[in-house]
Amino acid sequence: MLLVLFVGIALILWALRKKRPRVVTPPPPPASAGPYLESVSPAGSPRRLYLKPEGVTIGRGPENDLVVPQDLPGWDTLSHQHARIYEQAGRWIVEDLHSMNGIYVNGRRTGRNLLRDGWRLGIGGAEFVFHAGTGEA
Amino acid sequence: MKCPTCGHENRDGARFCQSCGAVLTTPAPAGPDVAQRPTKPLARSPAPQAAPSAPLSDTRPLTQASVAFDSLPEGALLHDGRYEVVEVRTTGERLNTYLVEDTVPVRLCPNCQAEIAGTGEQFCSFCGADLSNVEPLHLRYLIQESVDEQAFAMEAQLLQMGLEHPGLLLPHAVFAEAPYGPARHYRVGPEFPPPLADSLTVPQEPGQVLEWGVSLAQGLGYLHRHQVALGEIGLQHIAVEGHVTLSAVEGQAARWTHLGTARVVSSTTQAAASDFPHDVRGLAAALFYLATGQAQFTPQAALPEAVARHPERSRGVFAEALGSPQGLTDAAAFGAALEAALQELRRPASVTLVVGRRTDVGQERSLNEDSLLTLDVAAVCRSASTPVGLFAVADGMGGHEAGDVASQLTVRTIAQHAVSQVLMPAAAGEPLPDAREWLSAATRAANQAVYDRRKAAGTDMGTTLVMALVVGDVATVANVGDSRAYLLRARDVAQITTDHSLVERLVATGQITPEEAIRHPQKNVIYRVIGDKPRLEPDLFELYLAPGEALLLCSDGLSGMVSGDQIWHTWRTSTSPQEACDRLVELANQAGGEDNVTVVIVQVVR
Repeated sequence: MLLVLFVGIALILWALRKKRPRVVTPPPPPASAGPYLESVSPAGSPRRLYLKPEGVTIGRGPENDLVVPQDLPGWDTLSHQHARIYEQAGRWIVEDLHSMNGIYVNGRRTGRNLLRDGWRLGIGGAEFVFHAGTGEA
Repeated sequence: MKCPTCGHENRDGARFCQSCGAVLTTPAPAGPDVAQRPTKPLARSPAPQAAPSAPLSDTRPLTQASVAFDSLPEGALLHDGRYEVVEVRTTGERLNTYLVEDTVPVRLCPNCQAEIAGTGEQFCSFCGADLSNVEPLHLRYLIQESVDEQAFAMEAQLLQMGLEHPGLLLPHAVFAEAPYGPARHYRVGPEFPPPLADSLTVPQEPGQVLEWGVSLAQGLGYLHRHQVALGEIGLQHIAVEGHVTLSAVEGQAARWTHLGTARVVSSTTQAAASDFPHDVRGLAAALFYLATGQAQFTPQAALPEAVARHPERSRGVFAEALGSPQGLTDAAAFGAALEAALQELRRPASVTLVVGRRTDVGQERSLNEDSLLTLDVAAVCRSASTPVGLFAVADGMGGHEAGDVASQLTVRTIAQHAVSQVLMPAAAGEPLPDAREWLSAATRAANQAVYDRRKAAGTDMGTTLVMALVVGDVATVANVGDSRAYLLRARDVAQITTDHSLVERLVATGQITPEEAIRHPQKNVIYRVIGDKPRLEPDLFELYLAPGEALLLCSDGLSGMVSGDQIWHTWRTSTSPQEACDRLVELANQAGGEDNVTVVIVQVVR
């Protein structure tokens, strides 16, 4: 009786093992799936700043969600808290937080602006390209 | 320090130009007072709660960072994110325009066309229609962006007063916002703004101008009742709707717009004494210019024909408003005077129609394939008479049992339509159908009848058709083919219709001369015929017949044999339209009479 039970369990386990390869587990999403800003710099590898739908603040101050690294060209033209980027109704929006040098979309100064995939975003003198990523919006 | 943009001398160390607001950057080595100015959020307050362990250096100002009045980029969000810039339309030193999309969806009521904001309501709040299946839309607007604080201030005030009138075109919204730098001022208007009167050619058709005048005067009266004086009145303040033709005047209105120079008057009595009359005169001057092309009013100014037809009333309105300082000063009274003038202009004059007609087989044909029709009623009551008449000439083609059938069928079809749809209302004293629409419909009906008969008989029958609906002294002419309408005036003759013939096209394109056309071997070939195709539209013409003038309709048996000048001369030397018809047929026969000859003359007599 115990043996039958044991064989039964072994059979079930075996069956499960046989089935396991059929279950396709999706590969873990790459870290670059979400929207991000990619720095535009003549030298060195581009840096990426990842965004969050609930919004991130960007600036030089350490209290920001995204602290712009010091070695980025134009770093010193950013205000301590410079801009905020957030998602609203499926659209990504950048907003100037009364910074000294302003924000620029595709080279024109603006106050609050949509961001679309591939658009250039200047935060003060630091240049980025907005990538919508593979996710929604 | 000197402003690099406008040259204004500002105090040393100023960040922005006092005159133009441009950013002032100190030359060469950055002045310490500029460079060390901290940014607002953190460094301005050395409050302990914000101080991180290692204080950051101050922000380095960008030399190219400008707060000048540059246009915003695509995707910019205005009015708390409500409007999204779709396209930058124009840019300027003080004014930019954008095409924007309203991110707040609206639904248009299918019943009353009202805009219902949001998607929550199930029923139209204006008419109660069901909105559950109506798709929400994102409307587009044109937004003007001005650096000038006062640019749209007045219109904002008018909006705030809740003013609404069919003679007023106020912006959708006005607001101020500072995307960066100093505040900018915004005016939200329709995506396709109606043309302004200053873009029109002058003179415009007088009836049209009077009609605009009525709605503008009513709008002005409404503003005056709300203590708003326009002050400055120009064509740039008048928006006109629709495209303008001689007779298409139904429901076309003009509205006041761009009222930046208006103002709310404090004392109504004082305004009624000077400001309001000034507005009325401004409107009258603008209308006078639109109607005549003349900037200065003179009592003798040459008014276009239609106004000259009723000189007393139309001229009187302008003379009263512009001719004397004590003239028409009240907007409502001016509007009423314009309306009365318009009524008179639109009302056909009291005249009598004298008709002559004759048709003849000619010298060479054995069969007369032409048909003609004359129908007219004249009810004379209290000595006033507005006769209504329908006159037609049809030149059939296709030989025996074809051309004669086609022209007869056409004339009979039109006669039946005319009796039921024109003469019946005319006899009953009821309003007549629109002349152009009726003539087009009657032409289509005749075409359908001949087309069906041709298909059934298997022949190549067809016919020309020229017909005129005359109401009082206004004649509307419809034409298909190469039969003609002429206007016979005291001094000359004018051909009204254009032949739909091959040679006419050759002349029009310069391939042959008009002289060559007369003897061209293919002069009988026409490209638009009743009965040829299932769908057909006639050419339409409208003209006024002054007393003594006459309208002549004829087949090419006359116009091909007798020149226009000969026709005119014969008419002038005849004692009646009937005598003229008889003599013209005789002339055509003397000249060879190659074709059937048909002629109808309608003379207007006071």
